[in-house]
Amino acid sequence: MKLLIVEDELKLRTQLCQALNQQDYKIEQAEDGEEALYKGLEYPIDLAIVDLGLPKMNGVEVIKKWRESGIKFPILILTARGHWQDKVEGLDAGADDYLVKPFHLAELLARVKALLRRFGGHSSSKLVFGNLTINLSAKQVLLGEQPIELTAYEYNTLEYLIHHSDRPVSKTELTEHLYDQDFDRDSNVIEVFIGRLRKKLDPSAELSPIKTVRGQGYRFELKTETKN
Amino acid sequence: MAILSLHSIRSRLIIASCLLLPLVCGLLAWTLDKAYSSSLEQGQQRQMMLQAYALIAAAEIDNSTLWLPEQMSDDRLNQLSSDTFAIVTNEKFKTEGALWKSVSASDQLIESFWQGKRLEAGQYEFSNLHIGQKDYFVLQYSVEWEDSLGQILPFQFIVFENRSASDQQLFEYRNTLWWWLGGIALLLVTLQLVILRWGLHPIGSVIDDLFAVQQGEAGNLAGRYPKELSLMTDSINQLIQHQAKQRERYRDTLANLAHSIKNPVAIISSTLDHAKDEAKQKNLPEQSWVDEIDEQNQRINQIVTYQLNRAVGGSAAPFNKAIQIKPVCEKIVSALKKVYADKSVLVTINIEQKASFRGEEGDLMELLGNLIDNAFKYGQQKISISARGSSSDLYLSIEDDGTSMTAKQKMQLVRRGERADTTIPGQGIGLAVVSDISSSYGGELILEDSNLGGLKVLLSFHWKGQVT
Repeated sequence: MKLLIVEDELKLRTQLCQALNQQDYKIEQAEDGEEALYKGLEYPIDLAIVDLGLPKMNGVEVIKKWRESGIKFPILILTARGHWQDKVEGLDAGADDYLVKPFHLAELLARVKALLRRFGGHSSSKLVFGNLTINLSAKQVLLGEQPIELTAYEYNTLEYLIHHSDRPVSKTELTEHLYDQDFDRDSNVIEVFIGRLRKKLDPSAELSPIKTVRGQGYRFELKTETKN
Repeated sequence: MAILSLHSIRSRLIIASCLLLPLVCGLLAWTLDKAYSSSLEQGQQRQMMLQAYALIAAAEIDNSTLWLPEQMSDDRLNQLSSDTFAIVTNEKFKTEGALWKSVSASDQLIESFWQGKRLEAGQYEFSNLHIGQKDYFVLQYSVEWEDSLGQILPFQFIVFENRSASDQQLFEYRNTLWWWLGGIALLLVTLQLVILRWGLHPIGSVIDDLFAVQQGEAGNLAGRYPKELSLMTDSINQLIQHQAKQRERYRDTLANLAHSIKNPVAIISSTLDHAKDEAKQKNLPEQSWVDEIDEQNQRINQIVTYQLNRAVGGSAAPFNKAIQIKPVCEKIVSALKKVYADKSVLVTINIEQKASFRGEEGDLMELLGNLIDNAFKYGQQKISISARGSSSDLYLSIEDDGTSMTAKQKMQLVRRGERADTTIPGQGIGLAVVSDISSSYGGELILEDSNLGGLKVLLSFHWKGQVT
């Protein structure tokens, strides 16, 4: 998942990037409103964290312009003052959640995960697909009672496919959203990850969780059974 | 009909006019009446004097005896039961009666009402006399004549004239006078009311414009006012402008202050989180100083947040706009439904269209935002928001179906940093801020048990100084 962090305070932005990187999110940064607007419009972003008090163009304006341009990714706003006028203005402009500074990184991570889950169409962080259980909050996958060992890239590929299970996801899209900008886009590493995932998730080849859609990409086929 | 109040300039002027106008009309009528009746009497006196002169001219002395012709030139003296009669007396009137009586006086018992008053020679007296059922003017003229023997003979020539004709004339005059004065007074009252309305119209315009400012329909007093009022309206506009600028400056300063303080606090908090994570990853023992700094950092943040939020609170300033509750409430609910999308809360809004808050929009948002956010946070599935009121008061109620609270817990909630439920993230300053802001507007905050099962927060405000 690719996150855009928009914060003018360098130290805080660096800390946020580190914390989110540790959670295997790919990060894009912007230090002012204009840069944020450009990156949000041009880069394959899955979620944006936007500070409202930005130089050049304030956060609310950036969000409004994104939404006017048809940008749909979830947006978490950060506000220093914590006044309801700012929060409501931000949410009204198109943001989906808010966090008042200062905050604990754990809370920020929880909000980010909840927003990504909600935008993937899941109301619970624990997704059950028959014998297969995926805990989005803990980033854990269970086959029956047994945890499946997945690399960060494998898990991120799986999570991205689950969040976009309503349509086929192309290899290019997966590359853009799961890897850094300088990643070699012509490599067949995605095919390798998908192959490994299929083996790990469905060793007996009974579930077929990931289907190849000819000429379009991959689609996660399983439907959620229960939500907790 | 509206009761006239002494607190109203219009009423004062109307009352003063209504008192002054009858007084002026009364004095005018009295003066005119006096002048006319005096003129009437003087005319009567002149006429009777001429009659007396005519009698004197006709009188002759023959052997010390007064002689007058039977028929006088004035016919009224020659007719029986006439309203005018005359007599001539001397000093023996009381014993011997009148020396001469006109024909018209032959049926009058002169001696029964005339006392025979004596005047000095050449003197005359004009007076009133009541005879029977009638009032008379009386003119008495005194003369002394010398007869052929050189003897001085005093005579009193007395003319009586019934007042009825003069009184009738006076009555008719008074009648006409009062009708005219009544009509003029009515016309004056009408004109005065029209002038009053026209003269006070600019004040009415200022009141209407002030009301529009208070209702939020206008930013300042934009009408054209007469020069007597323009100094005042210009000053009010300057005050409104100054108030708005000061608020804007205040908001900007607070925003800058918040940004300047909260970012370093956020960096410290984040750094401590990193330190804790690193220690955990490296299996290092927990450092007590990290927790200590974290605790103090949270404390600083709590104080700063509380003071900054509290500093938003305005007051019941005279030119506060009335902000409609419904659109603000719907905006906040719509925003919070996004944030709490997972909870699928059913929000019932029952707010009267005219329910409004006379103050800063930021303060209203702070009040509603904190209360509705708490209801979303601690409620289960249902929230009910209702408001009623007018331009002078507001009653607001926000309730949820969360867990009920004891009286002690409710008391704790309005204290800064006190939280009833510590399992949900928050700083515990929301209700304390609501309490402070509502107090600054003279409002009252009451916490009750809700019929929905959770907490019911009641806020009431009574605005003063409303232009009506």
